[in-house]
Amino acid sequence: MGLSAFLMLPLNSTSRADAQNDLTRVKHDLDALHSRVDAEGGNVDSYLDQSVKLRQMDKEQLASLVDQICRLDVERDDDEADRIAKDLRDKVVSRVRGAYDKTVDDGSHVFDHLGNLESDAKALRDRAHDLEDKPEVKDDAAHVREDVEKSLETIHAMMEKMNRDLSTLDRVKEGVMAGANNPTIRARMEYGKEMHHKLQSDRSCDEKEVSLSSGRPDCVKFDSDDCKVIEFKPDTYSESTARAQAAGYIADVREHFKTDDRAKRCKQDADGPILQPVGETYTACHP
Amino acid sequence: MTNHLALGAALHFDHVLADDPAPLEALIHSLFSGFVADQLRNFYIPDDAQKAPPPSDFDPKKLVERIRTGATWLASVHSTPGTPDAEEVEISVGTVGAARSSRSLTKCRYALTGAFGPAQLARIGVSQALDAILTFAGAVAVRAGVLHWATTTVYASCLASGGGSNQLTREQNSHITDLLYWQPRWGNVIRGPQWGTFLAAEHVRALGGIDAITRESGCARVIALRSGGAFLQATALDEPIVEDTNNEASMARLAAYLTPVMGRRT
Repeated sequence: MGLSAFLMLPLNSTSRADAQNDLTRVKHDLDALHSRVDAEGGNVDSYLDQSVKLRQMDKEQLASLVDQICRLDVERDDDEADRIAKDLRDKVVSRVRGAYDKTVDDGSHVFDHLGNLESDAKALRDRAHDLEDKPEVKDDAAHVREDVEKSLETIHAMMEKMNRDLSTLDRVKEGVMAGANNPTIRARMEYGKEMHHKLQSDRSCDEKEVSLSSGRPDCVKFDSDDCKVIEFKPDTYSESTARAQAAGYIADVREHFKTDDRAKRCKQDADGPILQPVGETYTACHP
Repeated sequence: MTNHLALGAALHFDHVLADDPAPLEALIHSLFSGFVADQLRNFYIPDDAQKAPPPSDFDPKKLVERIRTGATWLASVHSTPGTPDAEEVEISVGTVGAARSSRSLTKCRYALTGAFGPAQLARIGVSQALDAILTFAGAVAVRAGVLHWATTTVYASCLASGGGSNQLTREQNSHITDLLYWQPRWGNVIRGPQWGTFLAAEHVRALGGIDAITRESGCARVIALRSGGAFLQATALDEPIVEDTNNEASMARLAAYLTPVMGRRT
């Protein structure tokens, strides 16, 4: 062996010790990786929980919004109720969009953490793999590498889950109630207007929504001995309140049509035509 | 008996409830304090060209706060929409401030109309309901008014308000408009007569005072109101005059007696 053989012995011994040390560090890092994977699993679960709740909130907010719109007496574009409905819609859309933004943001953070975790796991796998070239720690290193690969699978599964959720969440966020274009909201907002048009046509109103200082009565009819001012309202109102609203127009309607020949068809009281206030309710739209 | 009948009430007056809502608060308390909140709704019509917002939860304090603004044309407490006819109850009252147009069709600035289904009358008590209405009438110095008995609450409501309904027959709607002939004079002249008829203080004086009315009107009950006005009840509660039944004879006698304070065609 000679001198060189003498010198080799400590070197081999050092190399073995280094490999053992490296393996110990890899094992230590593997333990840390396990802890981080566990912790990140918890973060993923709580994000997904938040995401599910958000979707539920989306549905509930939409139902509540539609319910509120259906209670309103939306008669025509840009009337007070229409403006209230639009305002309600915009507020809810903004609130839900804000919640989506936060959830997507939280999800992105979780996803970033998973990315870091994946890089660290891959680096650890490579380190374990390198140690497999060292015969003295080869078997242990192979076990550690397999363990890291299992962790990597877990991380990839979590990333896949997150990816799936985030991409659908993004789509929902983009279309969050779709503002004015959400078909559910749009249909409910149009419903009242359509019902007013339908009833005005069905009742053969002589005048529709004539502009008076007291408002715009839905329908005025000049039938022989049976003149009426009719107010149409969804059945979230009682008939008597619709009638009361119609009664509020009578003085103005009498004044407005006092020289109109059609008013001569009405029954007459001591001073002029009798117009009977009538309230008519229609089935309100439902969420 | 009034067991299966609905009561309609209409009172015309000038008292500004926006300035002094106490009579209405007392009426709401007397009539509705035994109700569960979700059986009733607040409702109001603002005094501008906007439509009324949907009815909201019954809350007398909130309603009175709104009335006090003077910008509420009409305030109402009524049953939750969809309540069966027999269980319906409502009162609606003009409440706009004195500086604004009241949109009245009569000589009085304001009207209170009410309708009480038989189930709610039984719950409140017929005498208690009448007492509450009479107390309100005295407090606001009623100038004209009537009480009707009817077979349905919607009819009672329409008789009181002068309104019509698709739930009524053509004859019933026509009958209601026939009763409106002197509407532009109500207050100066009496409304009615009906089973219950309110007289203003000047009507009482024109008829010779409360004692003379008690003696000569032939009414089952004559009540002096604190305003100097009076309430004339044509028949006893167990023999009510029901709208559309054969009541011409008893009403004709009362109408003849009240001629001096009724509208007269010239």
